Amino acid sequence: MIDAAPLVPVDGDRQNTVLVTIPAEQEFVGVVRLVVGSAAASMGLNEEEIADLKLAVSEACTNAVLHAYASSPVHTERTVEVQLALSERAVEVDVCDKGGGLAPGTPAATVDYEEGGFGLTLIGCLMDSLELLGDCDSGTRLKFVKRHATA
Amino acid sequence: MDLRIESSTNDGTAVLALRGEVDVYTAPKLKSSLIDLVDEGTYEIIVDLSEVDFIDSSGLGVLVGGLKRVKAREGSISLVCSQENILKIFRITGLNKVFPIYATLDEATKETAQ
Repeated sequence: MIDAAPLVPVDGDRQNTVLVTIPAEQEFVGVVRLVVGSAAASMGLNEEEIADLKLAVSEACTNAVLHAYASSPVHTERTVEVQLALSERAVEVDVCDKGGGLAPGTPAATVDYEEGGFGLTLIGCLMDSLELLGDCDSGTRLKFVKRHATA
Repeated sequence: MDLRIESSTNDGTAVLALRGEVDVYTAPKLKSSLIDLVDEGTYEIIVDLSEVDFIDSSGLGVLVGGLKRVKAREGSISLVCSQENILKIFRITGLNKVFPIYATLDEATKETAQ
């Protein structure tokens, strides 16, 4: 499911949101990258910023797909929700799942998700801020921001 | 959102030429190609990323896993890559110091043969 809507301008900075909900399955992570790439390009981000965003969102979705529902009951709705808030100054990304969740405030460096454990490290390096929160319907919420180089 | 892998051999060095995207969905394909080579007794491998549009930590993890396998047999994995957005990922993770990375396949082939 993909939704898009303009928001009320904040400090004169027009903001648009794009919401994508995917099944928590590996083959759908690429779909989110396509949406993020198109949305970021429409906001005038440069190639490097778009590549950084696509990678960060891909890493966040991959973490959710691989780990969020590993210990959840079979009947749990297994989805990953990605919300982009795009403005002239920055792109804010929220990636939520409804799985078992990680403890809020877990330091990124201690979370070893991947075979190489690079996922959150990459997001932290490529984005301007990164927060791991736990208030997304008991699941995990990863929030990060990429500011425009020209903003 | 697909990954195609072409495998060829040149003087005992295997070349895996990748085209497309390496992510959580497609990385297992790369993993099985690397495992197949090692099982066949090929421990000198060049992974050509020239035609790769996207790679994430799933892909990096598979490359590191492959490197562990060939190093256990005194082999090596070299990479071919000149795309700045991908080189950046190797620099951030420090893997540019783990894998020899060449701009062209010719360069990688010459160095690996030495």
